[in-house]
Amino acid sequence: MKNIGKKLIYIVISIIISVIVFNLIQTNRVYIKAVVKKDCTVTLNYTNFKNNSSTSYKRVFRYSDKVDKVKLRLKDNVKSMNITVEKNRLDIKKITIVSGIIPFKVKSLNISESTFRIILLERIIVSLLIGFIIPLLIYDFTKWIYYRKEKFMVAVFIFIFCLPVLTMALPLNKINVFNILGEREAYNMPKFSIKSFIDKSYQGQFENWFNQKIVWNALYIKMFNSLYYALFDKSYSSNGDLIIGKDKYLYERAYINSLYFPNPYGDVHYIPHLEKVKSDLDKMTKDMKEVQDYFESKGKTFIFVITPSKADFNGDKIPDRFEVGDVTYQEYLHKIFIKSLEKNGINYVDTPDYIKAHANGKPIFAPGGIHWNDLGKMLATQSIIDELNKVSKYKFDDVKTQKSFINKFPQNEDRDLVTLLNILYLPKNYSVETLIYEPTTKPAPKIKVKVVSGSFGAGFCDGLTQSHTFKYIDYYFYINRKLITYRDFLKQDVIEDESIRNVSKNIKAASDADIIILELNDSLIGAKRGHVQTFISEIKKIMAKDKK
Amino acid sequence: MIFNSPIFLFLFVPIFFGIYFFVPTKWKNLFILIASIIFYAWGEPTFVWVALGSAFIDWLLSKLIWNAKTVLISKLWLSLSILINLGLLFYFKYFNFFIDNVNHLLTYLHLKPLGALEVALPLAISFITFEKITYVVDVYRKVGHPAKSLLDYFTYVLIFPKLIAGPIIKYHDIEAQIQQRTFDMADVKEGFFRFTKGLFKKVFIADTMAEVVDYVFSLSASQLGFLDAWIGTAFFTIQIYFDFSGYSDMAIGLLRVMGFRIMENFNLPYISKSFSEFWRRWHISLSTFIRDYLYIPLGGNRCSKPRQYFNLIVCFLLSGIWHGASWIFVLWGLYHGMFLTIDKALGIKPNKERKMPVSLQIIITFILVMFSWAIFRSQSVSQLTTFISAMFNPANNIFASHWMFTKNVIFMFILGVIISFVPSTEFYKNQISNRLSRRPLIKFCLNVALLMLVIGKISVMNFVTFIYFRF
Repeated sequence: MKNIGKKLIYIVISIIISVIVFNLIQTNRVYIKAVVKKDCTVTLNYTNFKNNSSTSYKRVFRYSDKVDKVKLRLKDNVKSMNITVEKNRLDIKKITIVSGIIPFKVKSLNISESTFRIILLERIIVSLLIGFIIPLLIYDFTKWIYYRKEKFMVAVFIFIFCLPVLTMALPLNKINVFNILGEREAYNMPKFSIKSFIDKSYQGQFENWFNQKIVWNALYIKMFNSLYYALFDKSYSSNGDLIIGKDKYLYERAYINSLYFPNPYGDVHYIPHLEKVKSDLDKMTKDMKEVQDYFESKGKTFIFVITPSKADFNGDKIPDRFEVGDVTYQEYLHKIFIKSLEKNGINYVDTPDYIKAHANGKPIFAPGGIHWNDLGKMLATQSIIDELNKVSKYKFDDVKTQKSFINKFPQNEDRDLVTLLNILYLPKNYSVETLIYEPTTKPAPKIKVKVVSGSFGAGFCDGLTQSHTFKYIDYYFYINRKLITYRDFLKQDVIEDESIRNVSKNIKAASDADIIILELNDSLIGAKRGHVQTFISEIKKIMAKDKK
Repeated sequence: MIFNSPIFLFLFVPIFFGIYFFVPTKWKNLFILIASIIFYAWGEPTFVWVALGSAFIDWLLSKLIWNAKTVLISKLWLSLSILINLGLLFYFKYFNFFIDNVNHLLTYLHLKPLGALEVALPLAISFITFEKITYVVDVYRKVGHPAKSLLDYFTYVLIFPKLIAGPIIKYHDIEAQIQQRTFDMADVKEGFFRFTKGLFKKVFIADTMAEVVDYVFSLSASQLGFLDAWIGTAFFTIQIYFDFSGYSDMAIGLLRVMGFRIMENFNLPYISKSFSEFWRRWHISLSTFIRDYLYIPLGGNRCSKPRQYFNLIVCFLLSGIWHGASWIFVLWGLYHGMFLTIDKALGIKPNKERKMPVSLQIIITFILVMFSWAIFRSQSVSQLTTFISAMFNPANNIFASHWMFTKNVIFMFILGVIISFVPSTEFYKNQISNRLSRRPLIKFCLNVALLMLVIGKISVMNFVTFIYFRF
């Protein structure tokens, strides 16, 4: 009787575990590997197993030279699926459907009911196996531990300390859980010498190398990050520069600092050296005017573009502890700067202002992204075209979009900050507006366009090329960090080695163009130095040489 | 190499214990010594030889002290040993401070300043010196005999868990364990538990407090407000306790894993009802050293009252300067010496009942101790002046550090306060501590979870990634 009771308990527990496991692995994951020839959408239409209702998901595949791998996670139990792609835009290399453990390669875009029946069977078998084996293992294991408590506990501790080193040689970073995202310096194993040991440089280099090699700890990092993200809205990732705001909006600390600091009070009248900042800004615009006149005298068009900052646009989501006043430091400097630009007759585009006027209250920044979304990029592109039509001898068509829809699967720059959180389960709590440009039919003029800009320049370079306004653009990323060449509207050649480090050479090359676009982010107005100041001073050197 | 660094946790610890458990008993001390030399040389590749050399001299001198035929000769050898130890300490720790002050004086007198000679401060020199002094003094006092072998003595001086930040152990307290100790799995387990507890205190509480403290103490006079100053001080009060006691826990834990049981260094110091009680609960090994090797030789309680007060002030002034070569530490030592003198003058003793409610006594002592930490944390006398004026100027409503208060900072502060006070309550002893000790598996699971989170935090702080750009 006693045994029957035990068996009954075992069966009940096993069934409960099986049901839990079955539900945990219910998600159908669809991997699509493809080469994207042009930005395009992929639509998945599928019917639900239970009620035969059909659902449609759209996903944008972005242009890339490489094979793009996209993972879709469908919450429903799928009965059948049909995948629609835009012709000539996407070359599908492989479709894989995974449910539970075994992946199924699918050849056709129409995936039949029988495929999903196999997947369902696999789930049932796996769930039952896990459900009935786990209780037995736990029972035996507990019994085993009971008689070896001390040894077991010590072994676990030693195991925890040893695991990082024991797994150093394994390619763990290929597994998601062990892969920490974010750029970091690469360290090599240092060469030992008595001298380097005595001056302690060996120790420092060795520790850097070692820290980088113990990939196993990525699991603990993700556990720790997940706990802090969930409980405290705090992230130590990216050197503590990620700020988690209200509704889990993410910011980079630098943008918030620019918005409110250096003054802890937020009251602009108390800002130390404000007069100096104002006079520096005025001097910069005067110099910029000289530069603009110089370019105009050579028959070139120069425009200056101010790009928005997420902290300014989504200030309401910044944690309360940062908020310090009604008028922010950035807002105040922005107004002063615009006045100065107008006073000195600079061809400028105030994209934050333009976007605020034309976005109809739609969000411009994704909660989990650093940069503007497609709508922000498109509006900025349009405002630049408006300015070019006004100040240059060329006339360009307005930007048109072929498609605009809400993307429930934010990708790339719309969730770059989310991925940098490096947590175990990435939140999927938002969607973003996604656009695809309708190329203009007007042939792009054969002119050289050069852009000197920070990271936001990529947004309008994309817009200007994808809309076929320009066929070629040379984009100098922070002058000498990277050179990205857009050619034939889409393809990008990237140079980021030592050959691009010479500032003077790059600026000389950048000034050899018909249209020169110089960009500054709103958050950097009033900064002591940056690519704008460097650009102006280098051009002034060229001007001085020309005079001689 | 510090305990909360990945290289210590994931390279040194696995290799050390991986070998240590399997080394035959007679070779264990030699292995400890070799590992300790590597541990110390990693951070102090030059000074390790000075430490070994001076320890060798002490060992020889201790033999001479022990075998001296007259007290005078014995005293002579003792003086030589103390002179060498204090000379080394002075040269490495106080020489720059001394020269700086002499130069200030010479400049004031319009004389030519002395040439600069920057001497780098070796890690752990203060702890090593004090332990070596306790050894020779105890041999001189016949409290203990000289170490039987050089290996025993070197093991005592350099054993790595207590090398960097104590506790200060006396040779005769640990001698029997150096010579013979048993391997017990329960000790190993408890040692790892204690080590994890220390890591948690350091990494989660002390380091979180440090984020706010470092910011507050970096504010200029015009940025520092009333609230900033008090919060900075309160946070530092928690930080220093969890930092130091965390380190002691780690040291005690690691030694326990190796089979050693040493004295406790902290015993809930913030529940003290007076300064004299505080020093019986805070850095116990240091206060014991001050009592046994400074206060008592100066006359202790056997001399006149004014002389006792003077001795107390001198002892704590020296204790202050032991913490660091700066006028700030002199002030800090004087501050504690002054309150201990007041305790003595008023007849306040740790176990003596007073009319004042206990909670009030604890609060007053806590606030006064907290104030002493403001002195301790200041970088200079001018910063201390700024800080004190901000603390006593409620009209200064600047609150520059308000953006630092993330939920985790507030949570860790509250947790720090709870851990500082609650373990002394009957509720904790009966309901939590006793219950946990009866459920080792729960305690074990808690420790494992804490260890994983601690490793997560240590790794994330050492795994600096930068926000990448789009390209």
